Amino acid sequence: MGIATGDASTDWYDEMLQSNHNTVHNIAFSAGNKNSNYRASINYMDNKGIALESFKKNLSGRININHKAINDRLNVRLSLSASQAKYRLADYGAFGSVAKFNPTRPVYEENGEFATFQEFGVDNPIGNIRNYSTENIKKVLLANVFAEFEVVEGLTVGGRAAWKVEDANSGSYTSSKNENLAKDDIKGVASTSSFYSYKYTYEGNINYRKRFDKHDINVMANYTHEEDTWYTYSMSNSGFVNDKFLWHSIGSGLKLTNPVNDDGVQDLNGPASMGSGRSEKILESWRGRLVYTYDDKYALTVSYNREGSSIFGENNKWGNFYGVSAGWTISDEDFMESLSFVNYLKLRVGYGETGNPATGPYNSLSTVVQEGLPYVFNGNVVSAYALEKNPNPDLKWERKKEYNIGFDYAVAKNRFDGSVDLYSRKTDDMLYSAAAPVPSLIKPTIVSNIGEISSKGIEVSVNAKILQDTEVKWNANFNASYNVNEVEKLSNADEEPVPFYAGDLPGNGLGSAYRVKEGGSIGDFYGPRFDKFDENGGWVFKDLNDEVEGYHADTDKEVIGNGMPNYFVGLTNSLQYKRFDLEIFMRGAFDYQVLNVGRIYMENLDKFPQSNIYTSALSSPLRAPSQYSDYYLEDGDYLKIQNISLGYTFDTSKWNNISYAKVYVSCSNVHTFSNYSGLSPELGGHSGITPGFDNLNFYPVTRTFTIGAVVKF
Amino acid sequence: MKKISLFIVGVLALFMQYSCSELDEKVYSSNLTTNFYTSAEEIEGAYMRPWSHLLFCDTYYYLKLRTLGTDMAAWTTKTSENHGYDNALWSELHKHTWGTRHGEIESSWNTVWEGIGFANAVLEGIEDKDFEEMGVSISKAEMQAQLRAYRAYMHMIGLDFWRNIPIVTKVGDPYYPETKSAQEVFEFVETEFLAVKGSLPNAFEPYAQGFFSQQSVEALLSRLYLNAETYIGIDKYEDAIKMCDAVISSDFFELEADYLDAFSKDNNLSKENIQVLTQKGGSSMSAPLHALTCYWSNHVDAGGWNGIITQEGFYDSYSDDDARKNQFAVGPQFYADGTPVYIEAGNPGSGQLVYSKEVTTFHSEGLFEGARCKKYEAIAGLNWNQEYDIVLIRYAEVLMNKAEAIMRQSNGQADQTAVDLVNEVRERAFGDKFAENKYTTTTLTLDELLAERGREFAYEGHRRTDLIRFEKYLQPRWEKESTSDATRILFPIPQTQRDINTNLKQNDGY
Repeated sequence: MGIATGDASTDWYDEMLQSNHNTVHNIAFSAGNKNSNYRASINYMDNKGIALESFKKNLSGRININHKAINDRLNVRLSLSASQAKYRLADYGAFGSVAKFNPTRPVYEENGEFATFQEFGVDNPIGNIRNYSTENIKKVLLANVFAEFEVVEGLTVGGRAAWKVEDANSGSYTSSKNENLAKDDIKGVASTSSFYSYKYTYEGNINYRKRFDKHDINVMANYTHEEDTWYTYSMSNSGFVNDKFLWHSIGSGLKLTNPVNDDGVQDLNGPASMGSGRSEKILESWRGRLVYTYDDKYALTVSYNREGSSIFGENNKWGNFYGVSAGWTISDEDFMESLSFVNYLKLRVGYGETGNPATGPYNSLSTVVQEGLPYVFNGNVVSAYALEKNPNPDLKWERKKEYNIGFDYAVAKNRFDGSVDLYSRKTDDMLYSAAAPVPSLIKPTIVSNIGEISSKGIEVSVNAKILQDTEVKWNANFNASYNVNEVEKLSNADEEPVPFYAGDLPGNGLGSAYRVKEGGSIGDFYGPRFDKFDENGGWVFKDLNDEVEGYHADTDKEVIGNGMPNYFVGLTNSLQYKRFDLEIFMRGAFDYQVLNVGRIYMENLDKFPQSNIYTSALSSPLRAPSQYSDYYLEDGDYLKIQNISLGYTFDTSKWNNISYAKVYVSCSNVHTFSNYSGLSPELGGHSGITPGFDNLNFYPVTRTFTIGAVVKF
Repeated sequence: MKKISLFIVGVLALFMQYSCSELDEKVYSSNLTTNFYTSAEEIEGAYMRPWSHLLFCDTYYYLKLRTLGTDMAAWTTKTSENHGYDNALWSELHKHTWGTRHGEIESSWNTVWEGIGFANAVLEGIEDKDFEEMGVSISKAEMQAQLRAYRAYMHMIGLDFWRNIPIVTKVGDPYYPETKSAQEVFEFVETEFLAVKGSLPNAFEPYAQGFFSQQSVEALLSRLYLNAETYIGIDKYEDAIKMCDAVISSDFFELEADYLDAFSKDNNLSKENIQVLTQKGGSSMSAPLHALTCYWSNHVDAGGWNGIITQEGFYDSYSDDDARKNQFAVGPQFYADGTPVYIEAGNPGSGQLVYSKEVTTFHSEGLFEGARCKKYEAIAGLNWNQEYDIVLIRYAEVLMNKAEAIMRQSNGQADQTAVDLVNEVRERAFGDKFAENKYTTTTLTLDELLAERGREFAYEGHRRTDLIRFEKYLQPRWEKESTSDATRILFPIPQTQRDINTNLKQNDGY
């Protein structure tokens, strides 16, 4: 079988990019007197993205008014802000497509039309973007009123009310020239949808503070009620007389006015569609907190939150969360006076719980909706109704618990300060849309409280004023953290431990890259270990299981890596010389692996010319379908120069009307030091349940140069 | 001071207003299950869901598992662009090398249980409802019988694919059902079918169209009994004959004069079809056979996936005098009005669409190798919303089942009754050439019967089960180079489910 290639030379990735620019305008003013003041501002931003056709335009305005009355005992704040964003997002999937696309195919035919490859079942990714129009408009209106009154000295009563109205509209139009539409002779598809949400929050506060002798008592009580309602509307139509209207004349499409053809039966792909929906959720909380301080040296805080959310099961709507912490400023003790090296030292210990309603509404309820295809009942077409999803009536609060011990310090005449924290965090009853048993349930997933994950670590930060009294000033900030996590419990409804798998690999039977299992860690890559290639370029994997001789795909698997970095570091160096200042920010992550999914897909000669391939495929001995193993895992360790900026501040002392003036240049994403062979070891991410999964469908990291000036009058 | 008091009252009012608020969820765009099944319309709407599910799944998912590992069809890889490779999904089915995470096997597993769940949900929902008071179109006893028959049929698909599966009669209870033996599953299917048969309508009665009838259950039981030896190692040919006789003696059915009439756009009225799954033009997305097989379907008048092709040897097993050969698209393609179908619709420059019956290799150089099945009559312009009904079981099968049961009772030797039954079906395929093509007690061997079943029931989902029953499924064929292990007769239980439900046992060999 010969390899058929085209004769073009297309850099599809380059075709996907456009040069970008960014314009920002701000105007703000403020005024006031002793009792009242206000500030108002308008911002405008116009940004053209680097991905083809992507852009964002943002207009926003804001007014804040503060007012004090009754001898400053009453304090009222009002704020109102409105914004509108208009945008077209970059097509992340297209970044993956262009990377995979055969470079010997042209973008355009000789006649200027987009080249089509329909006989190969793949679409021209550039044609797909160009033949698709879309625009999103999102408006947000926020109103906030806050009032606080001091009833007697130390006792304040306050309240807050906030309203947030969000209105998002989007429209899209796929031109009749789109390959798939042209193939079925569909004259354009228009759709438009809107999302409207209305959220209000009412809050009441009582705060009492009393100091006597060396005692300081602060008691706070708070009640919050939050209600969020949202509405969705959508419609689509197709069969337009031309491609001129986009989605702005959706009623003129064939499917709405003429859903039947000449034979009196419904035409092509069914009628125009429409939909609407309404959902809501309510959150309510009662909070109390007591802070007691003695002699400004010893502090004790006790807190209690009772929170209720409508989204949980009938008997689990309320959760109780406690917190207690203590602080001791050791450096204020008499016995520390002799230790002049230590300027400040405070010891902190604490325990706190928080609740997390991290899932949508209605997951605990059994609901029936119109669903699936209709059926014919005695000659009539009848819509079918069935369960919307697997309900979980036991759904309850996800609960995060944290133990913390640490200290803040300043030493050597305050030249070094910072903090050290040791923590142990645990997430109980973690909420997750987990795989469901089919049978006995109907749908393959169910939102559940699936397990417990713990995370332990240490965080250290140091601020150093290295050079201070010299012509060159040098400050440095260093922070580092070490963290390990463990899945402590992961069980099904029968309390039997069951693992689940995540990170679907591109390809049938390749399965998932990660296993989440009791006793394991989040980010565990699970699969076979690569041994060598045989003489035919076939895979040879290691026999990991001693019980059965030889390699068996089902049993010879183990944890082959982890995508969650154990170490993070950050370092900022600031240098100042006369009126110049230079800042360099570096950060890094260490001790983890990245799965280079792009290699699984493209480091394989077999894939060509159906797909683009990596040049490394030419030197690879592999002559078999790609299979998942540690062969594709790479160390992700990196150190990155995130940002360098250089500025010059003018001497404005002799300038009229100008109090401050500065110019600067900066560059972000300067350089990454790493042995990773893909685009960037960061792209796989460092969070979620599939950290370190570099599957190419990411917006590329862009290097940005900024030149700016700041002038104050 | 007055202002201050007002303010405090305001704040307190704020506290009071919501301190007793309800956290119960209000639904706006769905119905609480507890508040559903309250009217005839709601009950009938829920009653539709299992059937519309089967309508889609039977020819879309199950057909692939039932044919792609056989000598009849294959989803080949085409051209150097690997069209239809789909990450080896289909070549694994052809070569019997599927694993425990095969996507298509998993989809079939999930949809079988989804269908059973739909039926169980309705059975639970209507349990305490008074149908007469609400004016439901059919009696409660009939609806319950229909849903139990449906559930039994879905278990029968599971029995055929995996053999050892759970028996599930309630949604979520038990939450982790355990694997039952093939014997238990077989008995469940048999017992349920027999138990509900009497409460079902006769074929062609109102509300029976597209649903089960006494006769369709009998016909399906004949299929079950014919395979009993394969499924549970027990000979039930006597029972199979009894069921066939019940269907035959009902006198409701007769063979169509023209083979393809059972698959016409009006086939809901065909006297040959014992049970169909009904669709009405424009209402459902279902022309799966055209979508799966054709590149551009001149019948549906839309682009298909150019996936499943007919293996050359299978196509050649039809003689040129066999009218059933017309169910295949081979050679240059034309629309009904005689105009040619072009590779790019409407572009003569792209050349006429021509399917060759010849198939070179599983990974073929050309896009259009292999005959394509166009068995069902489609209306051009209706695209994927066709009018014809999907045939679940037809009279010809009952005749052939009876003939085979008779033969198997005498070591594969056909008697005159068996020969007459097979000839009754074969006659219409040959018309005036029948005399030289008819079977006799010497020519109708088991091998010949298998071949004839293949020709008669092409793309109707019998081939895998038939090859297994005739012990030819594991044989090498085409690019499946060696005899596969006997454990390949069963598909594996999807590992994804075994990860969750430890009560599921894996079949041997996986």
